[in-house]
Amino acid sequence: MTIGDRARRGLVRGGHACFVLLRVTVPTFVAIDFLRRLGAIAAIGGLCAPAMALFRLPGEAAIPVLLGLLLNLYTATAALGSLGLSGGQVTVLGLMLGLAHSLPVETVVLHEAGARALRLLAYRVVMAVLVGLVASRLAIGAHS
Amino acid sequence: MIAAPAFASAFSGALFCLKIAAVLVPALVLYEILAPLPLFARWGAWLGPRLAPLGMSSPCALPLAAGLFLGIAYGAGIIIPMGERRDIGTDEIQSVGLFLVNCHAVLEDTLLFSLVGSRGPVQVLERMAVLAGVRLALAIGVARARFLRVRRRPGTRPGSRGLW
Repeated sequence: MTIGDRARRGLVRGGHACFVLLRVTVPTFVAIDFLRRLGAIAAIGGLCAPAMALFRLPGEAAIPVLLGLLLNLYTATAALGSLGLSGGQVTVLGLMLGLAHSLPVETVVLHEAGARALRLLAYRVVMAVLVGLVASRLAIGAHS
Repeated sequence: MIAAPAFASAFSGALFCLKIAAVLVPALVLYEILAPLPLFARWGAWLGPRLAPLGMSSPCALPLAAGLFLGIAYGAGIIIPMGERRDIGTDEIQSVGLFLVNCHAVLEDTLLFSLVGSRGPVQVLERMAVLAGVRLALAIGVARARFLRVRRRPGTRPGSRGLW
């Protein structure tokens, strides 16, 4: 393969990722703006606030967490971008969601590969919580 | 009137995507150009035998690298056939899986999060290093711990497959 072919493959991969991202961010931004106007974001935030407070995060951060766990990081990042969190809060979420994301798809792939996938799934969720607890104490001030 | 705010948020969504694309696409092009260099082939050959302390043998290096750089979903084409290979044991597959759930798609995933609300390339690199470093350290530590634990209990389900 020539350098040109490789560059093209990188472009295709990057283009694909961006296409996925675009298909996801535009509707996510619109939906979240719409839900915010309806007061649904505040309601979900209030409902999840006690759980998210464990990680020193606002209740609304539950939305990217849920989207990331069930769908993928593209959707989670899109929701994250529209919430306007601080750098430390994004880092904590990045660590937690980095460990546990796209759980349905990735668990199926690991199962197909022959791993004991439910065990790995349980590990991911537990580790994400533990890392979130520790990282939030390090990266987010107590009263922010 | 609902159209105006919907258009505004669609636009800011597209803009957000564009900002990420401006970094993500060049990074992936650069990676594709650099990946086939002899240096990386040598790195693969170097890595293979050194996976033993983590409970993996040399043939695991390929699915491991695929997961590490492409991710579990995009690397599925290389990761799934691992189950059919005779030179990779079921217990090793579990070790590869455990490593990868901690740390996979290290370029794309960490870049994605580092770009949200970062000011300047230095901060992006800083946050990427934190995100990737923590996950890599966890992956190595946990795979090592599993290897030590499994090795100490010889004969415990060496070939078991299944969901749990």
